[in-house]
Amino acid sequence: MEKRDPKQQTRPEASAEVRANACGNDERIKSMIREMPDLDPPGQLLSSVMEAVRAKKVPLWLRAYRWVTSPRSVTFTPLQVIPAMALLLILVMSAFYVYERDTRNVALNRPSRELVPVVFTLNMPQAHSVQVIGSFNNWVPQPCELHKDNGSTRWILTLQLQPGRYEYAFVVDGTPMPDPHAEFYQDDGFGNKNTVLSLEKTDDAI
Amino acid sequence: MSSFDRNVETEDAEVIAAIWDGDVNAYSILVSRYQKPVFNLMFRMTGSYEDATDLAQETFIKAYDQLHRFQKGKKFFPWLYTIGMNHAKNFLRQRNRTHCVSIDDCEMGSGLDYPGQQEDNICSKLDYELLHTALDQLPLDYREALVLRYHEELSMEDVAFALKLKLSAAKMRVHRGLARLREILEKGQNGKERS
Repeated sequence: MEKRDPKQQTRPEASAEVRANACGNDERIKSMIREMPDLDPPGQLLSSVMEAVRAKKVPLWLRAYRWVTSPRSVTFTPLQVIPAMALLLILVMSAFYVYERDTRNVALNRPSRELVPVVFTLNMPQAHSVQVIGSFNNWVPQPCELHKDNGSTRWILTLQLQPGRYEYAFVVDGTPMPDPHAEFYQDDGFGNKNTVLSLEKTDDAI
Repeated sequence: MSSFDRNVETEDAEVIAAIWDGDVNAYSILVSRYQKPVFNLMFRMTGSYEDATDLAQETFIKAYDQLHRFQKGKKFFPWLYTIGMNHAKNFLRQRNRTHCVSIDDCEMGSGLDYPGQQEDNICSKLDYELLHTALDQLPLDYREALVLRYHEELSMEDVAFALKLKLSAAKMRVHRGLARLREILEKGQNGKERS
């Protein structure tokens, strides 16, 4: 049978007393640490640090980064906001208009010395309106209306196009149809046919 | 967190914002506020007044250089303490020195001879000498965890941040550090009584 050291046999009340003493000592140690006197730093520490720091130049990129990442507060009155918003609206609408106009006339009226005149004609006297749509005007018929001279049965329109490959179709009274006199056609993927037009630099009027 | 701590935290953030805006002199507020704990950390680490002065100075300069890495919303002092700890560890690694801090090493007027405070303090000079000796026997992380928690009165979260520990690890170090410190002090007390 294992013998235990009588000194190690502690009564419950004795162990509680030990714990209480330990707790008391811990509180006393915490208090000692809290009250532990500090050394005073040397008087020149502050000045020597600041001297070294002042000699340093903050890089421009860092200052710029700090400036752009620092939140700013802006104050304004409604009276200032209204004209600003109106101006902003005008600018946005102008930009939108210019963008629309440019994209609509993709290949039309571009300043170029190599424009090739192309004459679109369609013999359809019974039609009330004829337009041409194609990849050169982003498939928008508005600026490309064919006209018919008095007494003539042919609808006609001349466009200046840059050399390249285009697809187009006529829109007769709102209904698209390919050029009946063309040589090449291309399926548009929706069951219709577009006319294929290929312009070379040296081509004369077509 | 006390309102005092919150005020200090807010002030620190404002000072840092001013420094970021180019006001270099604002840094003196942070140096003045934290030079004592940083210097005392360095003195505990090196045991040398001169080395502690140099290391404290270098720590503040290093912190200034790295201020752009300081994350907004964090507390400055634990961040500074981390830089100081790492700097002191590197220094000791290079010098491969052991340190021995004794209260008798302190110069007159350095603060530890606190003549006017003797009557006010709960513990006697002898107790503090024992405490310093006992603290020096603790592993570095345990000692600094106790100092940060009870002397600098940081929260456990800030102690963990300063020592780059998880919260549970920081709590463990404070708990075990205190137990170990008690053992050392009790042994020292018993030895004194026997002699």
